[in-house]
Amino acid sequence: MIGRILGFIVALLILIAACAIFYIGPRNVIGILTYGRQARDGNLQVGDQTPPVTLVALDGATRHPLEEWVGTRPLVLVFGSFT
Amino acid sequence: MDEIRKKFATRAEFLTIYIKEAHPEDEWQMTSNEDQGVCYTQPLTLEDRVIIARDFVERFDYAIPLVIDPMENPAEDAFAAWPERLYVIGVDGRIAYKGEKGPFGFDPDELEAWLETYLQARAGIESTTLIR
Repeated sequence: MIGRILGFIVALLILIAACAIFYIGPRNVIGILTYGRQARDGNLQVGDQTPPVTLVALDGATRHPLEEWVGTRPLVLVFGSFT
Repeated sequence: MDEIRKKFATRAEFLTIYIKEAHPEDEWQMTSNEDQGVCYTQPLTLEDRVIIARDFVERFDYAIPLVIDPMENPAEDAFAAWPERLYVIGVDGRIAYKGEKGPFGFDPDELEAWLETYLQARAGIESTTLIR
């Protein structure tokens, strides 16, 4: 009897999971699962030297070392994307 | 963020670094993005990333200077910046403030409060130096 109940619960959970995947979309499920792993705390700490990175201007061609913006006044960096 | 930039415009520089997409439609598309017509696949070329960055600037009339992380994602990698994050770099070139990782740790209010304290302390040091 207990086995039947457990089997029913497992089958119900599988059905719910399948419905959720269907509703969200399989591609989005993969995205959700990988999302948390992509966001990192990182090793950079307060007091560390700023990493020497080179960035691209909106013209898509001109390159600018980040250090171009460093030194005159404190520099606030806002990282992000459209989506 | 632009309100914060305006508030501190005479005392701090602001720079946006555009990194790889957080919610492209080929990874984890957000319903809110769909509702607003923000539907892009993850760029595979720099040209594609530049196009999306330009769309972003135009759509929001975005006033903070913006540069783009190259396709190798050096800035995102060095700063662990994905999906969004805030930093402040001091005039000595060292990290002065490191915000928590986004999206939940992305906290402009905390940055604003931190900047207020930091810039006031900095102004105090500068005025003391001038008096001497």
